[in-house]
Amino acid sequence: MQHESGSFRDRSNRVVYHNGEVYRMLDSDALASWRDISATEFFERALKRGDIVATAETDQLAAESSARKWAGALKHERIPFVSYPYEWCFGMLKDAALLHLDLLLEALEEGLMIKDSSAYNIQWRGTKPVFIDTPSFEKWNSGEPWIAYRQFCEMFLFPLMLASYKGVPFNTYLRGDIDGIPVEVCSRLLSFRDYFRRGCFSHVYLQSKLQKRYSDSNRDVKSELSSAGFHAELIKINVRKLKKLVSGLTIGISKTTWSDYEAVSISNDTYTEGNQQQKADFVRSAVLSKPQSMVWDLGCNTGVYSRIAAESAEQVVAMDFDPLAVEKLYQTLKQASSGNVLPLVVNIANASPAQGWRGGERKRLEDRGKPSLVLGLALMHHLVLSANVPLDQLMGWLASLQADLVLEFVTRHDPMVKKLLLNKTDNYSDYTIENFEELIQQHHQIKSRVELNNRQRVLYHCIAR
Amino acid sequence: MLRFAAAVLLYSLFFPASAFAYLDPGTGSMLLQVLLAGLAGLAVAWKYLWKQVTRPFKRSSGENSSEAKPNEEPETNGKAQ
Repeated sequence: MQHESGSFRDRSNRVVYHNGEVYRMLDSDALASWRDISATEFFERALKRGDIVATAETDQLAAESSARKWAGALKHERIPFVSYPYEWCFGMLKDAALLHLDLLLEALEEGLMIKDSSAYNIQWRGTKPVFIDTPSFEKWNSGEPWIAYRQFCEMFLFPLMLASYKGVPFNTYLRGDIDGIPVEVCSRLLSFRDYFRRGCFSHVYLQSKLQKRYSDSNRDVKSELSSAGFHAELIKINVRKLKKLVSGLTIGISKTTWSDYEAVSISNDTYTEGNQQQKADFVRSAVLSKPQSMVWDLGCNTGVYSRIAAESAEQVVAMDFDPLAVEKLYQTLKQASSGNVLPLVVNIANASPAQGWRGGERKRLEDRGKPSLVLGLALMHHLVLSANVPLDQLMGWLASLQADLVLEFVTRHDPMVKKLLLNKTDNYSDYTIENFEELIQQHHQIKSRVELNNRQRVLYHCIAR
Repeated sequence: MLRFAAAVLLYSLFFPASAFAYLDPGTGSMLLQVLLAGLAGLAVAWKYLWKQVTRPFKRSSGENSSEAKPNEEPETNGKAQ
């Protein structure tokens, strides 16, 4: 039995792994609460819809649990690939926020509460958000305000507001502080004009002032509010208003920018239509060459090849450093109800690190799953020539993934490479096709190779030795 | 860090009944919820404020009441940290 290093904040339960399955150990209070909550109509409905991770009580870990003084255990459905809010695009954080609010509203109707509002409690099956932290549901204590309102603001509302109102992608902020954006920080980031925008005055300005005013207070405000007659309807009103506010937030980029973005990405792709078809066929046949449990598409852009891989692979994780490209892919996948592609905002030159308490709360990208195939199309020249990653280090990292590879080598004759080198001193003597082929064959065997665009670009399908 | 530890201590002293809530709700954030509810929160706000206004008078009539003591104790604890 292996403990999940990120599961410790709520002492009443702990996630563990055993024989490749996910379990949650519960103390006696959490077990009693689970039995009550799981019997409610709300919980049954949400499980059925797939809004809450499939969960059932189990006695498979009975010996283990009693030895460690746990009262019982739950078995959870396994999420294909764990991701974090700082890897999500705007639409994903927004949909996760709406799922949280919907579940809270529905839970309140049956006298239940969600005791925290951590965005990490939401994971993804493709483009469908799933609530995974079942012990977060508990009976609502009559007269108690929404304890996790502040956390909802810090982890969902403020990042979304900053992205929508200021055009600032929240990813770096959420990666910088895994607990979200504190109200006083959000308040400083907004200008006077912003306080006229929806939600800013009340949720940011007032909350920040009140928090400051009462920061040294040692009064039991919770009890005071309860005795003043605080009731569930007040929470429901607030949650409904928040739903409206979040629903109305749009990514802080105009339509023109969107269409420009599309045009730029098309013109950047120097392929003719025939070559594009050839590239698509090459990727398709590489994915089909064996059963693929998980494909990583690194530098996926708007996900053309991720979707090709998804035709036959079980799961695809599509990653790009551009939040807009990922947003576009997410919206496309959502419309197509594609269930096996997870789009993520990841910069391969600076991928998500291990962080949080003892570096164990949030895991490195590479520690969250093993791909069977990695696509790196039109990626390497950006990493070597723009991010200055030496080619041998890049190949070493790709080899460490122990997966088959589909790579595209963009030669120095390609217009994009010429453009990248235009204003730089060319000290990239390692960036040659000969060096690439030598390096790749240290850990892989080249199965097939095809030249495109007058030999300006070469595709490789490489099998891990 | 000391301030944080003091805050945790204060919190644990004053909210013993809510040991299950591992999250700090934030005093200001709790009060804001009454305002956010608009008209529906008026009655609660009025009752809450009325209690605040009348509290000092209640306290002065019973200075030795056990209610007043904990308000001083944790402050010293906080400083001692």
